[in-house]
Amino acid sequence: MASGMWTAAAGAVAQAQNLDVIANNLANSDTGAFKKDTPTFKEYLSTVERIHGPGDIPRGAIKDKDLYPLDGRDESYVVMDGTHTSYRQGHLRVTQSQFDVAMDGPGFLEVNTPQGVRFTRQGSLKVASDGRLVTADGNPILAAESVGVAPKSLDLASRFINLRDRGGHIVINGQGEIFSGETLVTRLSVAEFRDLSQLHKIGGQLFENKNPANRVSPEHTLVRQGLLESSNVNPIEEMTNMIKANRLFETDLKALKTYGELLGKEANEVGKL
Amino acid sequence: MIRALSAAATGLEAQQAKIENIANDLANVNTDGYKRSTTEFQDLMYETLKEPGGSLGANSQSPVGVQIGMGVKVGASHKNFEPGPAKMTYNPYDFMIDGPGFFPVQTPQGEVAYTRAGAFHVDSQGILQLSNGSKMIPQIVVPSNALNVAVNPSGEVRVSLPGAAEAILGQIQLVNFQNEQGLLAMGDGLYKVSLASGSPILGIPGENGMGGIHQGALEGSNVNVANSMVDMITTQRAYEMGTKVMGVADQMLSATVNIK
Repeated sequence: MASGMWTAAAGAVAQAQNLDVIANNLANSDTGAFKKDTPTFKEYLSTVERIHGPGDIPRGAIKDKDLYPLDGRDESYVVMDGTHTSYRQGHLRVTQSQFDVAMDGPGFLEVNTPQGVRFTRQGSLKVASDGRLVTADGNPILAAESVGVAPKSLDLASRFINLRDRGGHIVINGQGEIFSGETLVTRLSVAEFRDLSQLHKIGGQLFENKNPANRVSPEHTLVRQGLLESSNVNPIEEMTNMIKANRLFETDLKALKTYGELLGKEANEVGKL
Repeated sequence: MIRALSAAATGLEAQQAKIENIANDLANVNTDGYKRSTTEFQDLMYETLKEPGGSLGANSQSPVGVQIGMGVKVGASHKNFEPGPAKMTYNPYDFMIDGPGFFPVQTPQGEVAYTRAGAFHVDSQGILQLSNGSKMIPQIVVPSNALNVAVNPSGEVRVSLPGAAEAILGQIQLVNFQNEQGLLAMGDGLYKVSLASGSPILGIPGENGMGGIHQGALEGSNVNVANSMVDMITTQRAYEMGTKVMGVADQMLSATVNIK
């Protein structure tokens, strides 16, 4: 009987983890281009985890219950199975700033960080003191690889975007081409992915792509200058989920408490004369 | 659940920093040459409880992992140098820069600073300076018997003296920066050069992308009251939601404690 207690405890732990995810989503409800996480839960059956052996073959005449075995299925637990990042686009807010770009579509900007190439949709760009186009963290934004130059060149420094002495007004068009006056300076490197779920969130609105084959050329993304993408967290949804997590947690604790009381009765009252 | 508590706490801290910046912006809604600030948030690191792409057996991988975020931080807080509205004052020593650029000044402490609030005055010796005593670089001295001081868009200061032809008193210079958002705000409308801003690029008003000078006008604060109020509302609500999450985490902890 005490095994049911662990089922209730597993439920409480899963709901507590659920609240951790909700807390992070709500904390980032105003973080530009933040992508919310949604936890999913999995039923964990002890029978499925157990290897069936010859001992499971019924001896003697086969009865009804052998056809519908309950072995272990009455003891199902719950685990948090995964956090899915929702890549739904946040709404685009007008800022009028010439170095603010929003990705309208599924694309990401390519950023060079000390740990390697990362991707971001947070397009609040800055110009560093040496004229390089960087993110707020100071990581340089990369330009698209130019056709003809040795492809997949490892020399990322050659792809830094330098706006030194370009001064004045910078125009970025839908394809990510940066113009200074009439001259085309370079083109922003926009990346799209075949399977967004393979991206790894690393904080700072940056994502890591561990599978190079996953990256595809941008076809559905429009770069919009003077706009910024907001967080895609919907506070109403998160607050509702939070209330739900809170109540489910309490229910699990109630079950746990009931088991505790039953065990207490077992120990103290059963067998009392 | 302890993670939920600390993630909510990081949210409160970040929203508070934003409210403080908004309060400062709204307090300076009538400060000439004031530039509003922008607060940008970043999500903190993630704790990966389960690696995405881990092997589940032959030819199958887990498509998603379990990642729990640690909350939010203020990633950057910088000035927005969008031009403010022009205000006509008809005061001969009020200069407005129409376009990019800063006036270089020397503070009473001897430091070089930069400002866009061009409300200059003359002291007893006729030296052109800001109300806090910062003198314009290069120094311009207006003679006590000057009848009329005129500044043209390219920054030439001309004066007419009684019984004499018009004389050129000096040339106002402007500086610009590769990254003006990297300047350090010192208060009094003054900015100081930093490693991030790059070194000052000197120029003549109206040339090489520098703005021209408008005499008799001042640049108003670029704070947009409506936008700041909307920001204040969303920030306050985000703060409240953070406290709610804290309350729920606390309730869940207390329920756990009281189970026995």
